[in-house]
Amino acid sequence: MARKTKGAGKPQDSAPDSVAQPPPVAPASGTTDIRERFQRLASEWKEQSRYLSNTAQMAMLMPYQRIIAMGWPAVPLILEELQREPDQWFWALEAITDQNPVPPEAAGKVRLMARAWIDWGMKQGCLKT
Amino acid sequence: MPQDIIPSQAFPRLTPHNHRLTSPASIDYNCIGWAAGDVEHWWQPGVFWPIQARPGDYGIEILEQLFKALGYENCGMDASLEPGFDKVALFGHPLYYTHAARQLPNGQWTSKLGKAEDIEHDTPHDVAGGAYAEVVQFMKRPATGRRNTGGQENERGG
Repeated sequence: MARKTKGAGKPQDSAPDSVAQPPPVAPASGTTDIRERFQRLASEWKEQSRYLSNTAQMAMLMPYQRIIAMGWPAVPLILEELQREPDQWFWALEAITDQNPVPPEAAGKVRLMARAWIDWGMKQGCLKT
Repeated sequence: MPQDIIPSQAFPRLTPHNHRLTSPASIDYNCIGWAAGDVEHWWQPGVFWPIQARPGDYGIEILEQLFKALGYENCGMDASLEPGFDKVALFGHPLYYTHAARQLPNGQWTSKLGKAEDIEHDTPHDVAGGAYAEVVQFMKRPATGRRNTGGQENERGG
């Protein structure tokens, strides 16, 4: 079974590496509106993507695109959501952070992919232990 | 899960009489994995896919190439039961593949519905017409009695 060893889970048409990214930061206080917006969009996306199998198709849904457009402030919220319920958030995480911490042996294993991202988030300070 | 919860907008051809739920919902695998007999991976080009895929290629062609790599060959629009053969139905369009269903030895079909449940349905077309568009082709291979998970037989619910 050939698997992509580096960049597994990477949206293959993501932004080039040269695009500067701000460092990961924990959500600041006063971001209730961001959290509420994320939760609303996440709920919409989950409903719209429930019966889809093609992750690329899921990622093109408007709520998901809007979450990606939120940028780094969405990262801790996505990671919290991954902790609560594993789902196909990997495309968005990689698109925003330009990182992929998923080891090759975890590729395609949703719970292990989620674990890898959660561990990454803790190391980056995006997520509290 | 009661059958009437599956939304008619997504599956306008499903009725209480032409399908049966056969598993709980699971995020662990998708319809492509299920059609290939794997309940441990979410199959996706660029993530977990047994062949190389061109960047940005998520269309029906890459799904056909996948099943060719698994030993299947195109059999047009022939959905009939052929003893001694495994058969799959591919759904989608050039931009995105949407679904794959697998024929069971009794002639019924089994589908994993995205992140939701597995169902057994009478014909492949029962899950078409909505979220998955239409069946675009069938593929078959000589029955091997094995699946594609490193030798593990996965027939849960199906």
